[in-house]
Amino acid sequence: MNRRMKINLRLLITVLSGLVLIGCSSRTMVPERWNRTADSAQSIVRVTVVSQGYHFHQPWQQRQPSRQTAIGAIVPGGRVLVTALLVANHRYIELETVDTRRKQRAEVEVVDYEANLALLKPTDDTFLMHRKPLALANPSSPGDRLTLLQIKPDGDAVPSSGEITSIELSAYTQGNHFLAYRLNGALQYRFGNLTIPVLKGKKLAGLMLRSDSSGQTIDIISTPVIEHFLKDADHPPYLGFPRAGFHYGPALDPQLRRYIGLPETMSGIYVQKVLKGSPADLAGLRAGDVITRMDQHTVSNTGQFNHPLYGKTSLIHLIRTAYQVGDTIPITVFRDNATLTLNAVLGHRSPDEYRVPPFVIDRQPEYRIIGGLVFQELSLSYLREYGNDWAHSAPIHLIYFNQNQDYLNGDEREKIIIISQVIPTPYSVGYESLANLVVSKVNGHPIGKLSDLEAALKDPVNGFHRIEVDQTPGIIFLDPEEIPQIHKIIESRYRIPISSASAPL
Amino acid sequence: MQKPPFRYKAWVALFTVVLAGMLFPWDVQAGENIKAIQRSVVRIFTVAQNPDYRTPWDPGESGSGVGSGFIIDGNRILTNAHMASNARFIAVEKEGDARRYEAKVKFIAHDCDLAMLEIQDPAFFKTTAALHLGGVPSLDSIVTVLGYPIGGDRLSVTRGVVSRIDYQVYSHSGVDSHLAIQIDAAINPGNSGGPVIQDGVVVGVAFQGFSGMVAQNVGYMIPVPVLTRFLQDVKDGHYDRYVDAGIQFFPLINPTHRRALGLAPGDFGVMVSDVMQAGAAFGQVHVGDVLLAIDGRPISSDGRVNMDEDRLMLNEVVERKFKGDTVGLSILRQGKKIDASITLSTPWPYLTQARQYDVKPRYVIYGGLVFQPLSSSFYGSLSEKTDTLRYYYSQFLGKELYLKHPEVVVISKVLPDPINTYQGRFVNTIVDQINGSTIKTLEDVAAAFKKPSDFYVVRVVGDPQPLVLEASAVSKAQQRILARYKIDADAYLGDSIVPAEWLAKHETDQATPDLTMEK
Repeated sequence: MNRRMKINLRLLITVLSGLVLIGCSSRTMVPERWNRTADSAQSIVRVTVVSQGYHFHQPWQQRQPSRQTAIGAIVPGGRVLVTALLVANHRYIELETVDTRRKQRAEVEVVDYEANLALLKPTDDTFLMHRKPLALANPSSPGDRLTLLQIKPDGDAVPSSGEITSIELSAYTQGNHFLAYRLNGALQYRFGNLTIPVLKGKKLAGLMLRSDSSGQTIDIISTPVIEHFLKDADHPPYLGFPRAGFHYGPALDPQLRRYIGLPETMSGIYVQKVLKGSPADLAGLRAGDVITRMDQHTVSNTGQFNHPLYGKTSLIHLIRTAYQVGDTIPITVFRDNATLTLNAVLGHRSPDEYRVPPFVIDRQPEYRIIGGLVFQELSLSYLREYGNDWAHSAPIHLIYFNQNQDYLNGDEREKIIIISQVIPTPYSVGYESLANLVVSKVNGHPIGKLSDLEAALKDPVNGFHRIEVDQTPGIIFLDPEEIPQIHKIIESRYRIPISSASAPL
Repeated sequence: MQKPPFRYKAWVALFTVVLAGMLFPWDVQAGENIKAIQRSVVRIFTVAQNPDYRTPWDPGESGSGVGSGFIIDGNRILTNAHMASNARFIAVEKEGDARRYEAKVKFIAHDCDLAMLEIQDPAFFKTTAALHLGGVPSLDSIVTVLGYPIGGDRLSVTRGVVSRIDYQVYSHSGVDSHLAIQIDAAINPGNSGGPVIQDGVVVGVAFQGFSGMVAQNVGYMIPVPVLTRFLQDVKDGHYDRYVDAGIQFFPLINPTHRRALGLAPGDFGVMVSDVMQAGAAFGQVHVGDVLLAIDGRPISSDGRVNMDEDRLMLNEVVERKFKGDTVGLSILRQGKKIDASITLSTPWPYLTQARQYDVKPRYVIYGGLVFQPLSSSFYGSLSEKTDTLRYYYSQFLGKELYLKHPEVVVISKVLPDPINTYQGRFVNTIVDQINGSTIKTLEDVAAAFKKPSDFYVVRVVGDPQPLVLEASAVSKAQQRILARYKIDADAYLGDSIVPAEWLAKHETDQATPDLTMEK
């Protein structure tokens, strides 16, 4: 069965690419089968992005610019839909029509690094004027056939298709799970394109998220997620995908169920943690509640509901995609042997609201150099700088903060401020090897964010800045009068700006 | 950046090395009187049974090994601790005697890989001779290694020179470093515990080396200063381990740092950067104190003292001492000079980081859940180490996690049974509370499950979903589970690392912000 399909695909590709060549020479002779590809050429553009991020361990240092290509889907409103990671830290974006090879610079109109989607707009409005935007397909269900549309470097279309085997949650980016279509079959060609549109018939069904050649599966950003994104983008300001702000676990164990008195007939999930100030918190949800219904759906003991199209589907899909930010979701909970309904007004948790931000993209990582000590905010991007094996090679005392950031009860810090390194000058002798120190206080002032440094530094103790850190040596001293000289050396000898921000220190 | 706690075992030895080198400038001759020496060298056959921390109730797999040893005065046999660890049977043979004599461990020092054996049968010593201990051989001088390494059954002799005199981690415990002497004579498996001879006297005990895959001709011996300290320590009939002040210091090289602490420019004084609460100096020395002198010897800004016409690390002063000895510290605190006298001890939390021997793994089984303390041997047996376990293990000393959980109790395993079929998600989590009481030791776990209650609510670190055990359900299942997995006892609570005095003294400790549930 598998083998036959492979042959068919290959045959199709050969036929199609042959036809494209013919089509170039004589348009009028195009057979019926060709029309579809010609149409699709009108609905997609090649996207080239040059991006340049920062080195998080040396936040003044930019990486080498890198160039990536993708196939974007033209959507209504003269815009192009691509994956967000394509345009992360972009410096320059260029669109190119596939058939006429016209080029035009573009800008990012909306980007969402959680849902991994971005809308690009050409700087010249007329550029996409006579193109045929792709309408959004109806949501798919298992068994549907989808076509991934690739373009060879010479402009020929290379469609490859597969069948949806399952529809389930998949990580769109680190820590962000949304519904994805999973296709069987390996992707035949990629031409290094980061975004590949996925069609159902003549309509846009999704964008490729990732392909796993060993498992022969392709994950696709699903139609409902794209629909949510486009709807939000059409009504500025863009608000993003909502969250309710609680952690949960299964309510399967009969001993747990008996302990909390949950009737056998009732199913639901156990609320482990409600984040302070989150929609769930404001609605009155508490740790220890069992959520039995959400909206009109019965919640299973593992946190799923029955979706008419996809079957058993995670609540995460319900919360994050079925609703927009600002919508109210009724939550029925079992608490103290009674049920009650809470109404949560869903909100968005932006990366800045995390104690350890999940990403820092499209801006320079903030830092302050004070007397050679480099102060930075701990972020997941900083930890990821330790390489593919960062989860093991990054310092465990820093991983700890990332891993447990929602659970550090009693720790009121907004951010974790670290001294990432010391820039050697004649004044820093003896401090050179200090790195990755977690800062607790400066001059007796608790430090919970980078901007706290400013006020703290106005208040030296006995003529010295006293910096307390959690690791050896425990205390570091700076002489306020020496700092200007140290900064002069760093700026002249290393040519490193002493601060990422405009605010002088 | 994380440094091991303040343990500078080896510097004592360096001092001794230097001194000995001056006192006994031997003329090194080629060739030893092997005929005479071989009467002092013995072949040791051991059967050890090493517990498997993954199945702590099982006796463990046994295996046999052959090594070497030598006889010193008083009919004492010296060998490596790793030859006698977890031993169930030890037999000793000597040249020219067909008999095997059973030996018993008299003293064993796992922190310096030395052991003393005794043989009941006086007939054994009829034809033997005792070896004398020498000093520290000089670099490039020739040494002879005797022992019973692989390659044959009879005594083997190899020769080489002293290549390096330096500190090494003693791999037997995995955490202790002392002086060790590197030699290029072949040292192979089976040489362990054998004497290294120069001019007819012992200058070391062969004990570890690299495999041929890593380095060639690199073998190590335990030098005489470490041997002598061991012999001195056991004189009272008990081995007490190395002792420590329980402080860490930071060199005062930075001129600004010096001025801020009220020190004049120059090269004296170090700053205390950490004082372990379970350490000897706690309460007497504070973070930020400047140490000016130790036992009257001025401390330079890189932490060295002048001793025996050399500059040695200040810890060397402590390294030479024994349990209960005191060390004097001159401290500068906020501009005032203070003298402190510290009574030295072994900081017990540090023992959780050392490989353990001659103990049985501690565990409690309840409802098919296996509870085990986070020790070095247990940690090493884990195939997957979660971030939380890595944090608790690696920061146990540095973050003083032992204050709240002197023994970190891990749910290590679920022995599958219908009552725990949904509890697999709690494997490798750390127990924080049971029924509202903080769990400080494994004994607390056992006690909590003995207190009558309908439900036992176990709170684990970092996952606020409770693990609920229903007493009536467990009591029905407990025997069935133990029988199914052929486990004789539902707990072993002996061999605790945490001293009872510590627990008594710290009953009411409260910890700093952590991953516990919200109140």
